[in-house]
Amino acid sequence: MEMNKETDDQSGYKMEELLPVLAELAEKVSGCESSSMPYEKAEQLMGAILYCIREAEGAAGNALITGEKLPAAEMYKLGCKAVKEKVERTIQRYHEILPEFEDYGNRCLHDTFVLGIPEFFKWYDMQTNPQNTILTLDYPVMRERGKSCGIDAISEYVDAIYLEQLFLSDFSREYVLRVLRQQSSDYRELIQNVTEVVLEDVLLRLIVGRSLDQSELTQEDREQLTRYQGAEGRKKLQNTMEGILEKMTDQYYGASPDLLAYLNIPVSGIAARISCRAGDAEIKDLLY
Amino acid sequence: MEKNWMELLQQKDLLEKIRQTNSYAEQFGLTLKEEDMQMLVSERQHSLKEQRRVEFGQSILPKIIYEFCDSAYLNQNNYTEVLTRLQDIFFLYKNEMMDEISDDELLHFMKEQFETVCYGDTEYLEGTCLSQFAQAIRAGYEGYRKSDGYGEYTQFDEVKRWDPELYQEVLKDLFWR
Repeated sequence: MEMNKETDDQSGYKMEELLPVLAELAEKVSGCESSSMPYEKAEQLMGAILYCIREAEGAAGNALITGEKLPAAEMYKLGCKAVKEKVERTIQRYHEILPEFEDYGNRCLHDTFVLGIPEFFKWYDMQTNPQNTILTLDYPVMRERGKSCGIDAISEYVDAIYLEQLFLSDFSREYVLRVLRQQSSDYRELIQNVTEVVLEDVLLRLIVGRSLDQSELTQEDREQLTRYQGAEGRKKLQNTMEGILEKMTDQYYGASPDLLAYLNIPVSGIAARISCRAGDAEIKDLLY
Repeated sequence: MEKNWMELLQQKDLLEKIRQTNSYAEQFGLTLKEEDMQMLVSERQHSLKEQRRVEFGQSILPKIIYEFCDSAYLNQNNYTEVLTRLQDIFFLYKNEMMDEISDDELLHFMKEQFETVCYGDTEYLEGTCLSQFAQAIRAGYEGYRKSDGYGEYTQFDEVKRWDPELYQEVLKDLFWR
């Protein structure tokens, strides 16, 4: 049969290798009470199998890396184990963050992280629907979600919140709230990333050499910033900011490469924003 | 080219299993010829596709045959035709009941009504008995789990089937008065 020759591009397994795994899972799910199921359910189960196989491929030390291709059923089992371990790791990380967690009055951050994430773990179905992210993850972290889903998406999200909390914890609550308030009086209701707002303010202050207490830019500061106008200036500003971030993470965060990589994500955007406003009257509003 | 892998699942060799049912159904005077079996298998494909369902491993068709072959309303003339209809109805109501009910529970319910209130009428089974039962299941009824699908219909039946008092009265009118 021609369709037997078809291969699932993502998993690298032929459909005929995946079907026995699907049949076994379907039997397990229906508890031998039903010999048939709707297309939608069968598709969901096939999605679960492919998700687990991808998880197994992604897990360190799997057979594919060493060049040996394991049977689909075995890869699926390894994947199930990898998913379970990832769930456990993510729960552990979540509980590490929670006691010191600070939402700075941002309702979206509170609802997504404090109320939403536990609901995910409550409803997450590792066996039949591990690819379901369940949550819409409304609070935007700085790292784009991309194509990840299920526990992958949640794990990446919790890691991002961990890094954001780590960064913000080094600043006083009053300073963070002042920055947010000055950026928008409606900051509690805004669906925006708190860390990016604070990071922008911090980087600007470090560039002009002003302390966190100072709220006005001097004439000298403004002149300094005009150097960063235009495409070239923007690139220069971005490089300067990246250098500052490296030093900052080295000095205050134990040279965490994860934090440095995460804080670098919005830097080009921040540089572009500052560069655009550097020459005009708005310069006085740059500091929050 | 919709869902090739699903269609692949439905290509299982079912004929042999249907052939085996003949040795049991023969005692009730029912036999499926080779062309009847081919027809049933092809109708199964059609029915599954229409109801957007997929069968894994064992097909429901042999189970339907074993459940219904001792029916008082089946004979060699209508055997294949009724089996085809029962198969369609089965898949339709698995969907209508949102897969809440097991294969066995649904088959028990179908067989019981087919033999009693339906008097072998598949239209009545589909359009009335199963329709009312499915409505109850969608509304959250779960009593069939305890009863295994037996003796369920009386509580949902909207037609008064048998009134012993009226029967006695008519008897008296006819013979004693």
